[in-house]
Amino acid sequence: MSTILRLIWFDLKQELNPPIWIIMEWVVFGIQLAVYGALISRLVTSMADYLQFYAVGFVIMMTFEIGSHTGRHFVEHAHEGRLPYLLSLPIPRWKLFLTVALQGGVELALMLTVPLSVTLSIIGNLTAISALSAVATLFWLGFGVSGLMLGLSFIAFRSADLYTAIVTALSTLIIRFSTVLYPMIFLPASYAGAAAFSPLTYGSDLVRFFLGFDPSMLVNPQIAIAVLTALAVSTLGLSAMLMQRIVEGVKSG
Amino acid sequence: MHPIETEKLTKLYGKTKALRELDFTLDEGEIMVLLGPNGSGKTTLLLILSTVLKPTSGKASVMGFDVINQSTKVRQVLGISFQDARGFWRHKPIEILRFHATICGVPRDRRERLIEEILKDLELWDARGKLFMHLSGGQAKRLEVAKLLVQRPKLAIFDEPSSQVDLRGKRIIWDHICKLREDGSTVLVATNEVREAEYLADRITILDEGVKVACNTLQSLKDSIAGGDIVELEFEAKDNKDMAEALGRLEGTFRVTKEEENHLRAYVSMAEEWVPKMANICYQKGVKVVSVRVTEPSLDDVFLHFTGRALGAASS
Amino acid sequence: MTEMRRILQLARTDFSYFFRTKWLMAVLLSLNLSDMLVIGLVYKGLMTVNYFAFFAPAVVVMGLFMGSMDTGRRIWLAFREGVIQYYLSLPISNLGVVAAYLIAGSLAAMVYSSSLLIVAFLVLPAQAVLNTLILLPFFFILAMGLAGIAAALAALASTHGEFFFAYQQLFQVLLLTLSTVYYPQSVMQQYLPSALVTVASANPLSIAAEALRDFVFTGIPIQPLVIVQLVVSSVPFALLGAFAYYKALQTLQTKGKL
Repeated sequence: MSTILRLIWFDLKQELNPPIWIIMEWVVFGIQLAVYGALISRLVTSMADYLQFYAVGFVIMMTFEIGSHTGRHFVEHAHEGRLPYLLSLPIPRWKLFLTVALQGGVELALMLTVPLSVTLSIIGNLTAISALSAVATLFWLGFGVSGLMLGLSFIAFRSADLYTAIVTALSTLIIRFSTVLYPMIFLPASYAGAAAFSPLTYGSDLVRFFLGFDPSMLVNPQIAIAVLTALAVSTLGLSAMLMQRIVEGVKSG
Repeated sequence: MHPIETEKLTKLYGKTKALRELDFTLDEGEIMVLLGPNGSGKTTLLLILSTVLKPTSGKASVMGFDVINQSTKVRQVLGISFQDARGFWRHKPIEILRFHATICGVPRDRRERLIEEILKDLELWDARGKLFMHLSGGQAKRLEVAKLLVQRPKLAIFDEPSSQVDLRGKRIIWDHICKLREDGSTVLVATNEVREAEYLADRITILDEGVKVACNTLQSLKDSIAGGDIVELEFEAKDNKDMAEALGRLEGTFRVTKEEENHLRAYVSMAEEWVPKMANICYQKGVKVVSVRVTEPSLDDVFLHFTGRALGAASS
Repeated sequence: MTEMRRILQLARTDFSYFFRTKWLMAVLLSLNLSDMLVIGLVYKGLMTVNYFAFFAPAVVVMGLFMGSMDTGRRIWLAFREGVIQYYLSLPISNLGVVAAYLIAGSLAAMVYSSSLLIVAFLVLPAQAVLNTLILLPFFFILAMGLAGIAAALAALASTHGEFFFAYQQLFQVLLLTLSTVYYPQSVMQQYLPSALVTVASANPLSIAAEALRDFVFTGIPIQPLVIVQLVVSSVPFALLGAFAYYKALQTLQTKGKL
């Protein structure tokens, strides 16, 4: 366990010294919520309090971003030659994979502390169970997204450029064609069809369900739980398998 | 007018003195090799001459143009091949060379032919369509050198031109640099590779900690080491007691040691002048010599002599 | 070869670098097109105002902004990878290098945002397409101003390595949210402090977005005052960026690093 913790701390130390990225994420969240969110919610007339809806959506976007970052991190390490070094250390492979996953989790927890607290306080009237369920959903979603990005990382071993292009384009589309920023009922039919395939639809609607949003605007929470679980288990399993195969012939250049 | 002239050239990086009041000249049409370990100030000097860096004090001119006040003119007559390849990551070698040739004013009618020729010579022709970021270290380095070979400037500066390149590639690059000189360019090469220096140099300047410690032809530098040449003598007879004494009195002898009964080793200056004198003494004394072997000092020895450190040890 | 031709040669190389960066193209296109065709359209259903008609022209300005801002990334990369030393060894003046980057950055942004404008023309009826031709040269000046900001950020951030992207992100969010790109000025006036509203109305992105909405998509005749405002709010940024980049080159020549 100490090896895993040491590896996590080794990477985390870099991010925290100085913690400019974390602070920047919080500042951006603050500006987006206080200016963009507040003003757009004045324009939205079809929903009672769009600001709350938007705040949750932004937290979901952050979760997605951090999850993808974990996947990208792995690819960068492979290309910078750090992965071959880690693989040469006397650490079992499963511990290494666990480290990658846990690192993502810790990063997620750190980044979301302030935005989530602000969001929960805006919504108010919450029980500890509903807040904890929402947090758990975010972590579950984060794991799924990390797994998805790690699964896609095999592309990066052919071309890092292509990987970044695909992942960034896919990320944008997964967010836009989902219920992160708007409820399903307001989506045009063709967009709603696409949104049904976005994991963020289920992640954001499940978080909103636990936070007491009107269930009629959201997807069925049981389906959301099933989809998110399937995503996390399948992508993490698949990516562990792929990584196991990829790392044997990993390129460092 | 010298193609390069510096006077009390000094460069400070904060408190670190990279160059200390350096006086340095280069003659037209020669290949001057700057030899020195890492951190000796070679790259700093090259970057100042190519106007990439500004000196802290002192003067430097290239082809008569001042590097500070006439920097654009300097860059019109000079080209530099950097130690680390500098390219546009998302461009192909052929495009990078076209850009360089165009901006450096290589006439359009010669441009394509020259580029093709150099790419083929440096074995980059097959990689001409690859993106720079996908080139291997050796390919990127050869491309860096190729820029100057296409540009053919009046003053060509190479910073470690064959580092990261395989042995075969090194020879090709060195031959091209020599050809550049034959075609009228003056060449300045910085290196810490002894073989490269020996192959290329008309003259060698040894830099150490920002100071010029020696500058001459390789032969003169070797000759300037007192007792640098080693002459191994083997005699037919075993008893040659007075031979060691007689040879020790010869002009140019530094010391003589007895290795075996019939084997002497003499440390001398200018072995080519010493050996005939030695032959005379042997003749006069009726001593028969079985073999004579002369060993010159290596460039490593030269460096050790002038800096007090071995080049390999200094570089590392 | 004259200095001008050398500048153009360098600008051409940097210009092509922008379009060769596959991931960047993927990011920009997916972001801007989905903003225009998904967010704009869905929000239209959530609001009483025709948000799609309001937002689509603004996406063109966002494209111009993001394309120009990439100039900063390319300058930062040139510093980091040492390509800048190669430029300094070429027979082109330092000012020439600065000019080449600003020209290339703004031209690339213009070409990119023009493609978004064509998409906007396809999905939204334009009332005065010809007005676009009058606006384009001034949008080029705006792009140069934005590229200038990016250059200044890159020059400032070079000492802090990878923090450049953090600075750029913060700046981008500030400039976009405090503008009339996403929401009309009337809403801002109602809910934001007057100082912020003033900043937003002087923001060149607001001026450009309003100009496109009014003069091209609504068909209001072009008002010279707006053009003057656009130029006045852009030129200082271009000069500031040129100065910062030039000083960074000088620092590099003197200290050997930034």
